[in-house]
Amino acid sequence: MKKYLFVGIGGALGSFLRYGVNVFIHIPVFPLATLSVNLIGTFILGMLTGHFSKRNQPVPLLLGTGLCGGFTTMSTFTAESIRLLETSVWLSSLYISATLILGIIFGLIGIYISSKR
Amino acid sequence: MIDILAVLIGGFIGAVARFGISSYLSRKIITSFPWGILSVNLIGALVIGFVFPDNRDVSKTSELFLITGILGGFTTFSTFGMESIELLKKGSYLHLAIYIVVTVFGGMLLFSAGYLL
Repeated sequence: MKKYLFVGIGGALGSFLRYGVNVFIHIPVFPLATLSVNLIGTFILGMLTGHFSKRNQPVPLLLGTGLCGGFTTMSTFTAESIRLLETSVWLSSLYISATLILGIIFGLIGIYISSKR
Repeated sequence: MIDILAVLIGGFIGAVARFGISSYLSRKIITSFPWGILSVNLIGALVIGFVFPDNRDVSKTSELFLITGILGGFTTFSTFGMESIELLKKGSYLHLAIYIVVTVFGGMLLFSAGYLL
């Protein structure tokens, strides 16, 4: 039961921070806010994954499953990809490939940095 | 203030639901393929299509509660990134390709299905 509380609190904070980024970064042509949160969140989760070997502990549940999970989003990414597809196939493809490729690279850098320390 | 509360409460609910469903599925289906997060992200894509503001008449606060909060906290990109990296490291390239394609394009199809419902 306590596990759910850690995840929930992390998720609430993560969603709030994502909302904050969306308020500050607002450009009409490209979903830069979601791209940024997804890359930053994957980088941080990579660092946590490299640092904590067990996932089911309070700190990884709060910061990893909760905070990073709530900070990043797939549903908005999907909605934005479709929105872009309606205006430009190229822009939509750029958004999807940038999110996927950079997401994996940012995650790998996070794992690499934390395993070096 | 009510907007911030909507995001926080929504994010809490979304993250707890994600944790519950993904842990339940990974207990039920014991394989190395990330079924839990795949299912969560696909459900999230269907629901966001259904409630998308172009589609329904929703207030700003309900949009923040449902989309930014619940669905944003429920779906996740960071864990998707970590699981993709895990498949990449194991050399399971076929599983990796299936996981990415089904998440992204399956998600877009389900979004459209939800939109049309």
